[in-house]
Amino acid sequence: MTPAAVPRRVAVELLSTQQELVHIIRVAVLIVLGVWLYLASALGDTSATRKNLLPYQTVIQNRPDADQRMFRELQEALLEAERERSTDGTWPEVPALADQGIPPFAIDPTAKNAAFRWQLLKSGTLVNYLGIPDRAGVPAWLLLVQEPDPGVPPDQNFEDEEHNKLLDGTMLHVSTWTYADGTHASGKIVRLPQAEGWTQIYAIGPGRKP
Amino acid sequence: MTGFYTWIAELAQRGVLPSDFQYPFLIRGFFCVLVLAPMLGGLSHLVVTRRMAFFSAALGQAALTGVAIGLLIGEPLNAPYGGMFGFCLLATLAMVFVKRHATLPPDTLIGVFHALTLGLGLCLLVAVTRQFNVHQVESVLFGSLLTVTDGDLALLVGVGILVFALLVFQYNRLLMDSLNPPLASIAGGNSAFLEYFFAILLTVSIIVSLKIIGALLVEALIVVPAAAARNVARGTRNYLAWSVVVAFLAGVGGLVISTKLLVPTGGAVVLAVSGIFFVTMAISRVAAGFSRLNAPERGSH
Repeated sequence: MTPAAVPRRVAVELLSTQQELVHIIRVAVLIVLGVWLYLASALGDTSATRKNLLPYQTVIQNRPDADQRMFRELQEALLEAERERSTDGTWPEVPALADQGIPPFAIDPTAKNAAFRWQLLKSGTLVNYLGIPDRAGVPAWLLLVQEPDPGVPPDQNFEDEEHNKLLDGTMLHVSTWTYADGTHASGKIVRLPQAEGWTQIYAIGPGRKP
Repeated sequence: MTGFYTWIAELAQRGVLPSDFQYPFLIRGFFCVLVLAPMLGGLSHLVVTRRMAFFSAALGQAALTGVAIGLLIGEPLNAPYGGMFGFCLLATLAMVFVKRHATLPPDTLIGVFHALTLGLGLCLLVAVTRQFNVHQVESVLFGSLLTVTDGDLALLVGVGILVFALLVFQYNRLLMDSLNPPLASIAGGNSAFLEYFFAILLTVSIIVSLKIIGALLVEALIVVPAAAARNVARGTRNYLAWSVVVAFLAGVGGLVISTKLLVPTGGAVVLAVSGIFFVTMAISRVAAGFSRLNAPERGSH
């Protein structure tokens, strides 16, 4: 037998269950401590709303005055449209809203910015009020309403910026979007705006009770 | 990063890159895939060899509970990492400890943890929905490129580098321990340490992948690349290389499917990786058929 082939004895000492448990508890304490330190630094940050926002979301306070005005008008118009939807069962057409003098659909003679071509687009349970500007460099605007699918149980979400309840109890999923250079926005119905370059606008932030 | 995204968008508008690259979320998604593929693909063959597929599934569910805990203690909706890391790492330690010392079969024990964490997660999610609308949590369940931020990408890159460095450092021992634990112990490897070490590596890799793949489907990208690689690989290095290649192809394929069909990224990636698995299985069958056909010819000469 050559020296290289001589069998060698190796003693493998295993930890006892108790010793292993002690090690595990030490590591667990370190993990808890690390998480606690992280939370202490992260949760102390006051910009909680900003941190709740996804990459395609922003709050209206960060936008120019013209955008803030348009956002406010769209929120008011949405309430009017929802009121008609509750009573008539259909979404009002843009000319009908304009005839009632509801901004931003009604012509505003004092407006100095671009004019918008508004249209109501519907596909299944999806409703768009889409406004495309008549000049480049001005953002397009979109009110997106998702009605519940027929036959599904009532939505248990609470009402917030994105969930509006009609008079008959129907819960709608609503959101307001803008597209930086509106002339480049597609005039077709928008189903998933975030995947088409749109930015969602919030008044106070996502998922919070108003 | 805005300048970089603008530059890429200009290249996309000029036709140098595919037009989809004009959107920052897709650029981030592509970089995520570039990091995720080697990381999960590299771990994949060890997961299969160590029979930890079910363990990975349980960790995915545990991450969901971690998200709920994070939101309940006030973490932001798009980055509940404290809850996820804390709960998942503690759950991992508990699972490995119990698995090592209980007399029941490992899959039974992991099944118990799997049910426990999921049950706890569902109860906590009910509490979460009193504060947040549940749609916000959907992206964690199914994965969405749209929710990935620059911070997530930075974390993914950091964890990817750390996992790569630690894996390279311990790879031979881990592989030997996976194939033959007594032999690994005799060669100087500490089997208990390696088991905990690998489980923790896997946990952190799963957590940073969650926003892209989703909690429900993350184990697919950990198990299927190795399964597909096993159909075509010859030798350990080849196995590792194929696992990474399959994970990368699945990632890019899933990205394209998700963008074109507007479906959740996690589901799209799983469809892509499953498709690759069946293609490699067919290749393996055809290759075996050719081998059988050629064998008698060689014998006759």
